[in-house]
Amino acid sequence: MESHIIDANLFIRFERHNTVNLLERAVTEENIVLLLPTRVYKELSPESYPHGTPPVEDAIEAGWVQLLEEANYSNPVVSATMDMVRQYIAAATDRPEHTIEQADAEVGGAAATLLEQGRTESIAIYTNDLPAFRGIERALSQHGYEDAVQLIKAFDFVTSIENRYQFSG
Amino acid sequence: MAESAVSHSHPLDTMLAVSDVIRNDRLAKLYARVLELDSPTIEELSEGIESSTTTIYDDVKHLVEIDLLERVTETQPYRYQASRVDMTIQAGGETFQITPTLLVALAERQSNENIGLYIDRHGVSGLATAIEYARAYTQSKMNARIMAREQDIPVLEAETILQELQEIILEAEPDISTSLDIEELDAAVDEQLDE
Repeated sequence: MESHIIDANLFIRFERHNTVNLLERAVTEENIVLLLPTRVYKELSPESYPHGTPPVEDAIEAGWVQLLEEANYSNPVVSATMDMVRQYIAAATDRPEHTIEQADAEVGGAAATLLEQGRTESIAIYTNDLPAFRGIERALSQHGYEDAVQLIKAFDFVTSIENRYQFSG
Repeated sequence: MAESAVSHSHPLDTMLAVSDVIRNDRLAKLYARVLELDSPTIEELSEGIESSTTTIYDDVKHLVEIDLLERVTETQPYRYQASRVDMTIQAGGETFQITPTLLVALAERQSNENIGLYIDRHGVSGLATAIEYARAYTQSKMNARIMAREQDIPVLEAETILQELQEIILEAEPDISTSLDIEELDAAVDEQLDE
């Protein structure tokens, strides 16, 4: 996979386990950059939050996480992907579709934007939101991007990184 | 699983017993530890718990009296099992479920910073609500963004507590289904799109 988009749940998992340094090490060794959708960035650094927040600013400054611009809503493939993701979230959570915001589908919108801009041909998406991923996958395959996205189950990924480095010092 | 002693008690007795544990960290920790070890002896329980053996003995005796623990052996050293508390409280149009998961989460309030902070901000009732979201989250039927919106909290806070509680649920409710049926979900979306 050429590109790597991460959802909030991945970063929060590493933060909870105090293992963000292991994520940095793995990403740096693999010579890749994790792409962070704007909305996810805002979720990870809320204003006036009384507790600690994940060190996402540091990661961006160090260069192993890169902030994406907002999804290009006016592109029909991007908006169709985001609509499909909203359908999947609504169906999975048993909520009316109108209560699912467009921004909830930002990870899908970011993936579709990158593909439509021709900036990448394949994307790994790191999340534990399986319904949302299914929506992304299905929408993109309907628009000529068969097999362009791959799910990396966030929590399995965290476990594998922690197992790889935890005891190697 | 052993027959629950609690389910045979009068609901009011169960309520009083449970509120005892909710308000007493030491009892909550003991209950959680018995659940974790499955059917420990007092000696096994005393490993990893700070209280003296006498205190543990007294607390176990109390928890047996109020039916939250059950002695499961006839001969010494006795072994104890945790009763599967399952209570639904309805008040003021709201429903809360009291389950072993809630008691285990309460027991971790001091050792788990995220759970402690969540209780400080939203109370025990907020934690009980979060457990219901976390149960759905564990089954891929909920995400932090929806919980954040419905409970009026930041997504970061929602995702953090969902992950903490998911780990407890996977231990305390081992029968919970965690696999998502993609075909069923596809069909549900198709149905929505046809409407």
